[in-house]
Amino acid sequence: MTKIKKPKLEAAGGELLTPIQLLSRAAVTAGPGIVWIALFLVLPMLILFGYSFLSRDELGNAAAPFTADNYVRFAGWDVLGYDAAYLFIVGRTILVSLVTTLLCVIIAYPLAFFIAGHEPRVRDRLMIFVIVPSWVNLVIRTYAWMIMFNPSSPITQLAASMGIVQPNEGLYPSDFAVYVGMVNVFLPFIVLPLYSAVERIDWSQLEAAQDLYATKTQAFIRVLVPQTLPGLTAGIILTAIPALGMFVIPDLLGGAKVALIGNSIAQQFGASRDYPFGAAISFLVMGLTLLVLWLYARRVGEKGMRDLL
Amino acid sequence: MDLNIGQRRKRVLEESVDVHFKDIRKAFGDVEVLKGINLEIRRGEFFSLLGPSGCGKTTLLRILAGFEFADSGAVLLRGQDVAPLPPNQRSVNTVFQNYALFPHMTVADNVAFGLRMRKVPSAEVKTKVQNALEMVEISAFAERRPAQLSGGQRQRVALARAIVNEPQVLLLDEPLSALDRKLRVNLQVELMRLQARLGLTFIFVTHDQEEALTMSDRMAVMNKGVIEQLGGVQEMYERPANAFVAKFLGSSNLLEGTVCGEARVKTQLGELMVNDFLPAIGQDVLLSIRPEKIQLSRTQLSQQNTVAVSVTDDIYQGATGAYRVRTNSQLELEVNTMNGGVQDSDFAIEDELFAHLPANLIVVLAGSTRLDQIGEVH
Repeated sequence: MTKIKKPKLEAAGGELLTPIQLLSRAAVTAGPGIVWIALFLVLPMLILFGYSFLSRDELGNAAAPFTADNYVRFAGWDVLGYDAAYLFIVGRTILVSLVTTLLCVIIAYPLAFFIAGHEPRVRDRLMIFVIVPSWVNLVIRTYAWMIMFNPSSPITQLAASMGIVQPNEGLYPSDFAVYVGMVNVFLPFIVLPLYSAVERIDWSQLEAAQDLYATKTQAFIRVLVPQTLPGLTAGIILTAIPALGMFVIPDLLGGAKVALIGNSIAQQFGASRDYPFGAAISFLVMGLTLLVLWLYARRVGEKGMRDLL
Repeated sequence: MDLNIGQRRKRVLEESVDVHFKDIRKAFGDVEVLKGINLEIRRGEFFSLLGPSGCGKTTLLRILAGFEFADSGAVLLRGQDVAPLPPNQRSVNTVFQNYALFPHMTVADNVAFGLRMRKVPSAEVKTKVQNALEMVEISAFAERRPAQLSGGQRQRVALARAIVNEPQVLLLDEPLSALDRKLRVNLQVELMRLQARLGLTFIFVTHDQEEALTMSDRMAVMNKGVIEQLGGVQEMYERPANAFVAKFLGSSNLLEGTVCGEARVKTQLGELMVNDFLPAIGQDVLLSIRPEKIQLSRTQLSQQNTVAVSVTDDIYQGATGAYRVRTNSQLELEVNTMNGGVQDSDFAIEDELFAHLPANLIVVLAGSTRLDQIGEVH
C-alpha cells in the first residue's frame, strides 16, 4: 500500500479511502479469519493458561486456589522432595527431537539435490513419492511400522539372522523404531523447503566457481551450501518443533518405555486427570519453543524471518 | 597507456599463438556439433567466434574452459595440452552469458572469489579487488548483492570477477546479449578499451555480427560445426569467402552467373565486368555485392555494369535508407544509401533509376554457385 500526501486518505487497490472505509473493508476480508483464530486458538490458549495456575480438589478436578505450584513441581520440587524427572524428560525430548532432525537432514540433503538434478517432469514425479506418504494417517503409518518390526516380519528376521536382534524379539519397542517412525513423519517437512531452495539455484554458478579455481568440493561448500541454508533452516524449524511435541510415535514404537514430554502432557490430560499440571507443562514447552524462535529471529532479523516463511 | 580504438586496430599483433585448437571434434549423441575445428588464436588479440545459435561456438569455448571434453583433437594453451587439467587448473576465466554471479555474496566477495580460492594473501586480495572494481567503474556497489544491481552493473561485476585473476585468456560467452542496445554499444567500447589496456587475449562468442565487426581484431564465422571463414574483420566483410559468410556478416546481393570472357560474367543483369579473380571461361560463378556498394542515380552515370531499375520498397532507417529495386529481368536488389540530405539519394517507390555495380566491388564467392543450394541464413 503506498501512502500519498493527502491527509486521511489511503490508496487501496487503486482507490482512495477514508480510514473508516479502509477498516470496514479489512473487516470483510480479514475479519472471519481473525474471529476464527480468536475463538479457536487464542481463547482456548488463554483458558489453558489460566488452568495452569489452578490446583486440584479432592476429586482431582481443577479448582481454586490460584498457585504457581504446577510450575514449581515441573522444575523438580515436589511434596516428596527434589526430583528432576521432568527436566530429564525435557532433556530427552530435546535430544530425540535433535537426533530426528539430524537424521532427516542427512537423508534430505542428498535427496533434494538428487530430485532437483532431474528434468522438471521427472522432478514432479519424484516429489510425489516424498509427499504422498505423508497423506496417510499418522497412527495408521505407525501401526504399519509396528507390523514391519514385529518378530515374525521378514525385516526383523533378516535383522535376527544378522545378529542385530535376538531371535523371536521384535525390532520394536526400541529407540531405533522410534527414530524410524519420526524420520518417516518429518522427512517431507525438510525435503520440501530444501528442495525449493536447491531448485532455485542456477547451476552455472557451479561452473563459474570451478572457472574461478575452486575444486568441485569447494564449489559445493562455498557456493551451493550457503544458498540452501534458508531452506534448510525452515526445514529444521518445521521438524524440530513438532518433534518436541510428538507423542504417538514414542508411545507406540517406543513401547511407553521412552517417556517424552508429549507423552507426559498426554498422560496429565488422560490417565492422571491433572489438567493444571498438564497445562503448565504445555506452556513451558511452548515457551521454550518460542524462546528458541525469538533468538533465531533476533539473529536473522525481520527479512530473514520473512524469507523463512 | 590508453590506446584508442583506431590505434588498437593498427597495433601490430604479436604473432605468438595463445590458444591452438587442433582438429576438435565433438558430438552430443548423434548430433555432431564440431566437425574438426582447427584454429589458432594469437596472444593479445580480440578474437570473435561468430555464428548462428547451434553452430558450435559455445561448445568450442566450453571445451577450452574445461566444461566439455572433445571427442578427439587437442587444445593447446600456450603450447601446453590442457586436456588433463580440470577447469579450476586452467589459466582461463569466463564471463558467462547469464553472468552466474553468486547471489549470497556481495559484489566484492564475488570478485575476490577466484583470488581467495588460489590463496592469495588477504591484503593483496583487497587491493586487487579494488582495482578491478575501479577498472569496470563499479566501486560504489562493492557491498551490494547481485540482486540489487541492474543488468549492466551485473555484467561489470562478472567482468571484474574474471579479469581480477589476470588469466592468460578471457572467454566471453555472449556477455552482452541480455542488455538493451544502448547499454550494449557502450559496453562494447568499454570492453575494447579494457582489452587494449590489459593486453589480454579475449575470445568473444556472439551471434551478433555487428558486435563481432565492431569489437574484434580477427574472427571466425562458424556454421554447423565448421569454420566458414577466418580472418581480420575488414577482410571478412569486404571479401566474404562464400555465400554463408556474405549473408551472415552484413547482407549481400547474390548473383548467379557464368564466366563469358576476360573479366566478364554473364548474369541476369546482363554482362558484368568483374575485377575479382574468375575461373575459366564457361564456368559458373556466384557473385556478391554489398547493398551499400551499389550506386543509385536518376541519370545513367556510367555505361559499364549499369542497369535500369525501379524502386519497389523504400525503408527509412534514420541515418541510412534501405531500398529494394527491381530490374527489368524481375531481379530484386537490396541497396543502402546514407541519409546525407542530398536530394539525389532520396528516392520514392516506383522511381525509375539506374543502379551501378562497380566492377572492383563485386566479389566472387567460393563454394556453391547455385542460389537454390544455399540454405537459409539465421
